[in-house]
Amino acid sequence: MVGAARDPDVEGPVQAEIFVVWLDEEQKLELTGPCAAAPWYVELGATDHPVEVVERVARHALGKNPLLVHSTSWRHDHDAVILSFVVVIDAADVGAMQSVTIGRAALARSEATAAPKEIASAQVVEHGLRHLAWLVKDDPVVSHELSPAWKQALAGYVPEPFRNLG
Amino acid sequence: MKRLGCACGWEVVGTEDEVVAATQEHAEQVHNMKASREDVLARMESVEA
Repeated sequence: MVGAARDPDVEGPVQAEIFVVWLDEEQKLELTGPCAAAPWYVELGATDHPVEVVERVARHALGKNPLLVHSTSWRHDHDAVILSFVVVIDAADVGAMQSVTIGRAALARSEATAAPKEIASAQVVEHGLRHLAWLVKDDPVVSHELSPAWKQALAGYVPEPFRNLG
Repeated sequence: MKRLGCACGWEVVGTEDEVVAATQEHAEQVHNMKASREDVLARMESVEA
């Protein structure tokens, strides 16, 4: 993976990578979180349920309940299985956290029989938003939680299912 | 005074005990990690008071 600082002590065979996203008043998707725009890594123990841990750390770090917590892809990186999560929060809950507008990126595509050699953080986010675009059409819970403005913002993303990125 | 910064951007400055306590809390609540006192001491640095 390129373009991502790592928390040096986050280790273990399974880790979560969290991208906190929100929709600004100009209807632009923004990336934020306690690590600002950098991926946020979390250790997952053998008895930890990944979604429960991500929801708990997100609620604590953000100080509010997230609107959505969804795993969007997985890959093998840094000697671990990395489960990527998109956490959607309300604009009012961004507070003082640094935030950047999310740009578009080409997806990292696998070769016929091998994973991509490199996967950039922006490509993971791109797929995560494509997965949300798929969920908002397929999953009634997600569709209920996301506002019409969110649905409009996701309309430009090609819907993709959960999948491995590398 | 001691200082410790996390790759996620968080940092703490204080006495050794304050830095250890704050770092252990940050590790557990933000990264779901258990950090021993020895882990924290190995990563902290001295700064001007």
